[in-house]
Amino acid sequence: MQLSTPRVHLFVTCVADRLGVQAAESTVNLLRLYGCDVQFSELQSCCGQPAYNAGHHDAAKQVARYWLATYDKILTSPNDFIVTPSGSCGAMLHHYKDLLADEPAQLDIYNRVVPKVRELTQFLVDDLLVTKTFVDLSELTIAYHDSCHAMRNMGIFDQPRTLLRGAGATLVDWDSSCCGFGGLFSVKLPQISTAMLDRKLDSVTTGLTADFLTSTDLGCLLQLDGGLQRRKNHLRTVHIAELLDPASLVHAK
Amino acid sequence: MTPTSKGFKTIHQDELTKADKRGAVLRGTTTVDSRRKIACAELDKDDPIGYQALRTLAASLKDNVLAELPNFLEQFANNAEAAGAHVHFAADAFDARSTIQDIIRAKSAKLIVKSKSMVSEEIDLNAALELDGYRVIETDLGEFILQLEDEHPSHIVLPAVHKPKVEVERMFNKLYASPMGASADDLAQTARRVIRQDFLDAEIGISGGNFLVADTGSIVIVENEGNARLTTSIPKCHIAIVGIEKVIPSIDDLPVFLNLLSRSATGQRSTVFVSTITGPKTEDEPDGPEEMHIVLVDNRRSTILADEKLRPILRCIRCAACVNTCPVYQQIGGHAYGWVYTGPIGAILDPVLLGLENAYHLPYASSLCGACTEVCPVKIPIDDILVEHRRRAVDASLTGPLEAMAMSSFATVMVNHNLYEAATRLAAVMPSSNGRMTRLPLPVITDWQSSRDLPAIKGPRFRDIWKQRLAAAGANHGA
Repeated sequence: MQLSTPRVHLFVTCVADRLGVQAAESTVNLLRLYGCDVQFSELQSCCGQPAYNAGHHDAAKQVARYWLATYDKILTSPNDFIVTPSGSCGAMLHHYKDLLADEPAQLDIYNRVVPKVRELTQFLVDDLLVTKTFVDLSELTIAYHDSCHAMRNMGIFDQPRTLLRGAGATLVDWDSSCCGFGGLFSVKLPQISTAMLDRKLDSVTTGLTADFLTSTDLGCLLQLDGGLQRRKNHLRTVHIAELLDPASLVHAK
Repeated sequence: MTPTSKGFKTIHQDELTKADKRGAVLRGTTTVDSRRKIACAELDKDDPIGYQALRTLAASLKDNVLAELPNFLEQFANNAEAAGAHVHFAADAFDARSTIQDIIRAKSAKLIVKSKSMVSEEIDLNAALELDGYRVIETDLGEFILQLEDEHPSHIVLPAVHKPKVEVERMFNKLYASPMGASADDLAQTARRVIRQDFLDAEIGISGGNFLVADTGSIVIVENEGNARLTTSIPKCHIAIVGIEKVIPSIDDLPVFLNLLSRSATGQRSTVFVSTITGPKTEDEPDGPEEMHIVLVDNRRSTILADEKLRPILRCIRCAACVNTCPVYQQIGGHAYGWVYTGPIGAILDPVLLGLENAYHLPYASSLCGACTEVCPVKIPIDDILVEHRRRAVDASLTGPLEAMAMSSFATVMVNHNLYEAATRLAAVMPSSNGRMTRLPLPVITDWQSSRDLPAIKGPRFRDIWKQRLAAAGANHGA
C-alpha cells in the first residue's frame, strides 16, 4: 500500500532506449496514469547482461559497478523505486550479488539499491495493487509470451495476465517454451535459436489466432517479431506497456 | 565412446538436419516432461511434505553427504563388506576398467549381461570387455536396440529416445522376423525372448546403481523392465559399478529419493521394480549371485567435490528431468553433445569429466531459460553453473580474442556516458527500408538475419523523447 506518490526511477534498458522507444514511452505514460512521479537519469546505460551471460565477468563487473553507482546516487527515500520494462534486465541486476561477491563496498550498494528494482507489471500489480486499467481490450485476443527470465528469475506470471484480463482481453494459450532469444545465444548458435523460434511460430501460423502477441520483454519480442516478419506473418508484436497505455499508437483506429 | 564434444559447433548443425530423429526426440521428451509435471504437482496435493519441500530436503540430504563424502563412503564400504560384498575404489576410468577386467579374467566367463549403467558408458567398459573376447549383452530394451546398431545412448534415462519406432520395427523385422507395425509391447516381448537365454547362460552380470545406502551397505536399483533384477540375480557373479556421489546416508532417506526420482524421471509414482541389494546371496537364500563386487568410481568427481561452485553437480540423481524439459535438447537431441551425459546435466558435467578445453561449447548451448533448474529434484542451480563454466572458458582464453575485445569495448561504452551517447546515435546509420534493417554482411548481424528480420534503427532514442517532451510533461504532472 502506497501512502504517498511513489517516485519511480525508470531503468529503460539499452534495448528499449534504442529499439523499443514506444514501449519505453508507454511505460512512462502508464506509470504516470497510475500516479507515479517518473524520473529518468540520462547517465544510465545497460545492466551488463550480454557480458555476464557470455562469461566475460570482468566486463560485466565494470557495467554492474556503473549501474549501481548511477542508481545509488538518485535513490533518496523509501518510497523510491526502480522500474524497468524488462524482466530479463531486472533479473540480471539480481546476479550482481554473486558477480560482486568479493567486493563488500559494492554489496552494500547492492543491498540498498537492488531490492528497489521491479519489472513494470510486477510493480503495478504487487506494489501499486492496481485494479483498474485505462484501456478497453475486450475486443482483442492476445497471445501472451512468458519471458523465461521474467517468469523464473523474477517470479512474474500472474501480474501481466491480471492486467491484460483486467482490461478485458481474451488470452490464448500457446506453446510455453523459450522463444530461443537468449541474447548472444541467438547469434552464437543461430540454428538452435531459430529451431526454438520456429517451434513457437509454427503454433502461431498453424491455428493460433490472435490480434497481438505480447510480453514483458523486448528481447523475446525482437526474436518473435523478427521471425514473424521473415515469414511475412502479420501478427503484431507489441510490448505489454503499449497495450495498456491508452495513448499508444497500437490503439489508433 | 570417443568424445566429440569439441566439435559441437558443427555436429549440432548436422543433427538439426535429421528430421526423423528430431521428431522422435521432441515427441519423446515432451511426452515424458508433461508426465513429470503432473506427477510432481501431485505431490503438492497428496504428500504431507509437498514437492518443493521434498526437493529442498533431498538437496540438503545430498549436501550433508557431500560435506563428509569420505566418511560416508567408508561407512558404506564397511557395511557392504560386512554383508559379503567386495568393494573396490577406482580413481579413474582406466582404474575402473582394470578392476572389472581383473575380476572377470579370474573366472572362466564367456558371456556378460549388463543392465543400464551410464558410468559404464563413461569409462567405455563394453569396448574393453569386447577386446578381451567376451560377449557383452545390453539387456535394457533401449540399450539393446542401440547395441544392435552399434549406436550410443543419446539420453541418460531414455537411451534410444532419438530412434523413431518404425526404425526399431524394421530392425526387429530383419533380425527376428517381428512383424512390421508391431506394438511397443510386442517389440519388448521380442527382445525379452532373444535375451532370456543370455540371462541364463551368462556367468557375469554387470549393473549400475541408483543409490548407495551408507548405513546398510546396500545398492538400490530403480527400473521398469526387470532386466536389472535378472542381471543382478541370475549370473553367479554380480559387479555393480557406481559413481561415488550416489551415497545417501540411510535407508530411511530412500523414500525421499525414490519419490523424486521416479516422478522426475518418467512421471511415475514409483517405478515397476526397486531392488535393494545387500551383499551376495547368503547360505539360506536360494537365489542370487555367489559373489558380489561393487566398484566405486571417482573419475574426476573428487575434483567437482573440491570445487565449491561446481559441487552441487554431485547432488544429481540422474533423473534427466532437465534433459526432457530443455528446449535446446528437444531440438538438437543428445548426440549433438558428443558424449555420454547430454542435455543440461551433460553441459555442466562433461566440461569437468572431459576437461573444459574439450567441452566448453556445451555450456553455451543454452538460452539460459532456466527450465532445467526449475525441474531439478535436487535443486542444482544448473543455469548458474552453465554461466560459471562460460566464465572459466573466457578466463582460459578458449573463446578467442575477438570476443574478448568486443566485450571489453561493450563495457567501455556502457560505463562512459559520452561514448554511450555517441554509440546509440551512431547506430542510426544502419541502412534500412520499410521499417526493417537492410541485410548486412556483418558479424553478429548476419547470424541474426539468417532467419530473422531486424527492425530499422531510426529516429530519436527514448532519451531524446524524454528530453523533448516527457520530462516537461512530468514536471506538470508532478505539480
